[in-house]
Amino acid sequence: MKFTVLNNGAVCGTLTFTDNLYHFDGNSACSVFIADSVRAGLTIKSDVCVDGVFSIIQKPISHSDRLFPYALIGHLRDSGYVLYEFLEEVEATFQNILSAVAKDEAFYAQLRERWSVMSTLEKTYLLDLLEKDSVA
Amino acid sequence: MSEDLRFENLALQEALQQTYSRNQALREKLHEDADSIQDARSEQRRLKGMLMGMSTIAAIATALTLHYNERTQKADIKIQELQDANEQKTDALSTLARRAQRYQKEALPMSKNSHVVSAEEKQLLIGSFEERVAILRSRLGNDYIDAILEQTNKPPSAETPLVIESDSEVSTSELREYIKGFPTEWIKLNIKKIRIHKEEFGSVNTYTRTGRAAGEFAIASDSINIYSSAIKGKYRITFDQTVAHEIAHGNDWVNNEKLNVQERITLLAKIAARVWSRDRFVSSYVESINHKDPKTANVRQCEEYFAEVASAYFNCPDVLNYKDFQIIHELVTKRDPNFNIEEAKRARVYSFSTNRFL
Repeated sequence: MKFTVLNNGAVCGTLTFTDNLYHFDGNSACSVFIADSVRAGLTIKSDVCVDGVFSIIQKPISHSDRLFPYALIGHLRDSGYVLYEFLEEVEATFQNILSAVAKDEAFYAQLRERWSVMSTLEKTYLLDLLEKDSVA
Repeated sequence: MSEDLRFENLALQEALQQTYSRNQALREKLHEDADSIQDARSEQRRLKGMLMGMSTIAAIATALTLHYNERTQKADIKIQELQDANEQKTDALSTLARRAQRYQKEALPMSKNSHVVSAEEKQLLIGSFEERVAILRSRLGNDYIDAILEQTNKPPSAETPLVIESDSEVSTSELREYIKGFPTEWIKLNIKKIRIHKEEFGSVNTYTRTGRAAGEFAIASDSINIYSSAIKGKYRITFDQTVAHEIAHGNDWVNNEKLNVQERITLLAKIAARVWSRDRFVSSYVESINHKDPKTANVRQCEEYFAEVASAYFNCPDVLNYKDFQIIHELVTKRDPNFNIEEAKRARVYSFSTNRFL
């Protein structure tokens, strides 16, 4: 899993999980925040349903637990960070579009620049528009 | 002669005595007046003090009013800027989409790399009612689907005013204002009571003995309990997410009284297709579900996925895949066509009279 991490609308860096290990590539403030949070110990929030009652519970989670990445993601979201997931298929589709417009250098540059600052919602909305159009 | 002098002396003595008495009375009067003056001066000082205190309070109140007016103005300007930026972004997106369409013929087929839709996912999205029910039965179990189908003839419960209670620092009036930041229809019929408890956590009485509840939704009573741990954080995000998550549970395909059976199955099928999709929304609530019975696990995943994407829709829709956004947006705007995410967020932000979260 890979996420673009933002704080107050500004990109802080990229958070990647590989085999339960996290790697953050970005500004030092966010990097320190993540390291401190992991060191202090994380809790994971989940929702259990017992006898028709849904209860959101918080449980401590260890670094080796398979749910560790989700605990860290949840912690960052609860701490005011916004995470845009890097969706490989969406990115690959965009690369196809980019390669098709490579001849139009200005549009290529504009498209690539805009794409780099788009949210998950904007990217998927744009591709949905294009997909609907190509089907039509 | 001496007799006359004695009389005169006596008269003088008497006059002196009277003068002395008058003098004494005047002195006493003078003392009394001095006391009165002293009292009056004290009262004057006290009133002056009060006046100064009141002036100080008035000055502070004026300063605070100015400060909050300034902050409100700044917030309004920021919101306006965000709305303008949003409009610009929407325009830019439309322009990009239009321009990109020109390259469609040259572009590689979108389906080559776009998300591979499984046959099951496709059936859930565009299959007939019967086909969707069949898939849902196989994945979620007959009992669960039968319970949804049996709701056909269930009469809607009478509309009752929402009961709001709070033992915590959040007042009932603040909470009532806050709830107005959700779709009216989502609250009106499907949520009967919301209570904020002063206890940090609620108790969870079964297999999650190590867990502590921060929020609850009880299906039988359509009531939501929020515990103070959701409020105590530095950020209001936890509170926003917890409340939105619990309200969403009250509006899913099982609990939303406004949905007919077709709509219930359609909504469940759409969510199920997303839960089993590779580009689903990443959430600990969904991923942490672990049950020995796979069908029960699937049911819980669908219910939690719905609550999570709905919570993101109300609080931070930018992080959602458009496919998830669309499901919740259609459900909300079908009965609340004027619902505006940004305006609703603003209403929730302004609902708290204190700045405990700022």
